[in-house]
Amino acid sequence: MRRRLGVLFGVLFVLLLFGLSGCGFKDIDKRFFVVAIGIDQGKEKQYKVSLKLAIPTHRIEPGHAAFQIISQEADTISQALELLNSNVDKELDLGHSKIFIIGRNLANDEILTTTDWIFRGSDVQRIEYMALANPSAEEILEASPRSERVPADSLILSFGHEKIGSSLAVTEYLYDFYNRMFELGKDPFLPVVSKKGKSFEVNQVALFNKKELKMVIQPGQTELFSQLVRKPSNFVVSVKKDHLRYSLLIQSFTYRYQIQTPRQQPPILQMDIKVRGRIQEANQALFDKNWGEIERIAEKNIENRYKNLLESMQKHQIDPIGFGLHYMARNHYGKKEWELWQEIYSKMKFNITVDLEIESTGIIK
Amino acid sequence: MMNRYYFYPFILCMLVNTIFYVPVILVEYRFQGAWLAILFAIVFGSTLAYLFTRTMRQFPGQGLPEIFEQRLPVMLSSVISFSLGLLWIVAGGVVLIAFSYIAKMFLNPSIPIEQLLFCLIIVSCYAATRSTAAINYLSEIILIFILPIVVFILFKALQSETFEWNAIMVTTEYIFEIPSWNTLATAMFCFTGYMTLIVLNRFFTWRISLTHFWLVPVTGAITLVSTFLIPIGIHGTQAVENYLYLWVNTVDSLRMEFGFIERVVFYYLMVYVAVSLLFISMSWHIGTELVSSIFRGQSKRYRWIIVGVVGIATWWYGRLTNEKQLIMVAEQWFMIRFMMELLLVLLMVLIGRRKQ
Repeated sequence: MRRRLGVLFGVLFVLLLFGLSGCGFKDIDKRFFVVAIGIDQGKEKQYKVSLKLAIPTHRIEPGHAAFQIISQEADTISQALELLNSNVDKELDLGHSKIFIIGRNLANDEILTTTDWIFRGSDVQRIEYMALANPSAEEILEASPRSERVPADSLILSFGHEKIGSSLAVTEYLYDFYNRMFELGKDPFLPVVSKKGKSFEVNQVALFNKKELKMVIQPGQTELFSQLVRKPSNFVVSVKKDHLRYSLLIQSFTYRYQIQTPRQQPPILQMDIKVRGRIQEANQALFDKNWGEIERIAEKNIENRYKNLLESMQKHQIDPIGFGLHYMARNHYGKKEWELWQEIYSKMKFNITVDLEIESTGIIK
Repeated sequence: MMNRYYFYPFILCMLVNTIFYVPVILVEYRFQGAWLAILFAIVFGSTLAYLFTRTMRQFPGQGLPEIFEQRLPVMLSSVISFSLGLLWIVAGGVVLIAFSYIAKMFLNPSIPIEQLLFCLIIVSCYAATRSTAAINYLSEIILIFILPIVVFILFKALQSETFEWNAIMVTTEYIFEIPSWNTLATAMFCFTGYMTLIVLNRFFTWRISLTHFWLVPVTGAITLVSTFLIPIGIHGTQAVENYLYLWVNTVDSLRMEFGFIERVVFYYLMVYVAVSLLFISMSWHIGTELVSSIFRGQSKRYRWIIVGVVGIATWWYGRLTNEKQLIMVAEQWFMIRFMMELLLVLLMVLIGRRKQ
């Protein structure tokens, strides 16, 4: 009896092996790997979906990234994808897509409806990067810098921290954008990818309130913004006063803030920033001068720039850094907290102090 | 040293809670008493576990049916065994169906759910009919392999760049809200590992030592708090309630730049294949042992029949149900388990008193 049962099980197991037909019944050579997804406003229909497909090649060389771009207009994104799937000879696989780009025209009050498809789908990674395309997602997908080794590589690497971090490319992930779309007291933002010649550049950030695009931060403020919302990275500060001109590379950046609400007075956001940097260029020898004075010039500069940035965000009533969440985390007034905060934020004064420390003047005095 | 087997079912129940919709339910009530429910659950859960274990260790090597045999009328003991058995069988079934949904969603969207259920059920049915000792050894082997990965995932989540402590602080405002019974029952699931003693006590032929019992409240607290708070830290206080597969999505929001696999979610799914199968096997083993104990003397013969019926029923239900219904079933299950557990512990404490 036991032996017969054993044999039966053996046969069953061998039969089960026939069920193993490879990658989910579709082999890897029957799949097209989508590396980037772009959505634009369509001309005739509502949306235009563009996909960047990687074409597998046996050699990986700079400038030889083989890719194909397919696009389709439809009234819904899933419809467009279905139509696209019939255009190519292989199954579209979204699991390896690393970046999701939205056309600038779609950054309107419908953005949550537009992106619903990507948040709902289980085949897309939550850690996918998200960006806003200027002027259109399709053009950004088509761009392929000459140094590119793997399709869409340069676009993806622009946002990762694995390469030497650029403080101008502020990373935003799919899940974090979704979080910010709902969170009270923390507003969404997206990096802006703009077309530049055959390539593209990433140096602006678009700030949203929960509904629409409110302002775009330009280079000069982007790097300051990036220090506040993401892991700090190196950035350059150039200052000028009277005859003195020099540039600093900021290598360490820490900040803390507290929100004070004194009675009868406007609320204050007291922010203390601590930075350390190295002088990169100067129009005169600085080593023998009083470093304290030199530091003060840069401190003033950084203070003013941060004040401008925060005040312009306040003017638009947007809060991507999460001051509101910070306030609500520390004050417990129940449900009316949120209204209270909005009132406080509109009246808030920013008091910023920067403590800068110059580490060295480089290898010359 | 053999005492360590006492803790494996606890750890297993704590691990399986992310599949069993515990975090989804807790997060839904994050402003309505989830915090206090967690606190109560830690106190009540470990108290019940302590009382129950202290009673069960007076009957070394005896499962619930053997203890009841001379002390309760046949009818009553049959009813209790049958309902407890059914409770555990349903638990295994819910986890099995829930996991097959996750597997279909994230591992292989093109597989028909029938096939997936079939494969899982075959493996679980086979494992459930093994001996109690084999199940215990199996859980030790599996837990040793996966616990480091679980700890790594927790560490990785706290390290996340976008982890927002402020969001967690916002929920602390609602720390003194009175929880509903439902939330409390859900939170207490993490401590339900001691219930496995109703059958697994047959394995413990010695007096279980309670010197290291403090491990139970400590690990339970860590598990419950991280199950509840890490998703809030990553998805924020508002968006977190929109996710159906909360923990799969939370883990999918972690990135490992320098790992062999960039998406941490695949480590998680790998771990949870093992955890779910182990939990299903253990709960079905307990279920079949209890139900078959009704057929005195011939229980061995009926074991396969019961497992077969359970497998077919789960397969049918898995085909017919949907996620919305399954969450509701899970919620009801927590409530029923909560009440049955209270009654059982009470009964056992009384029986233990009388024996002394």
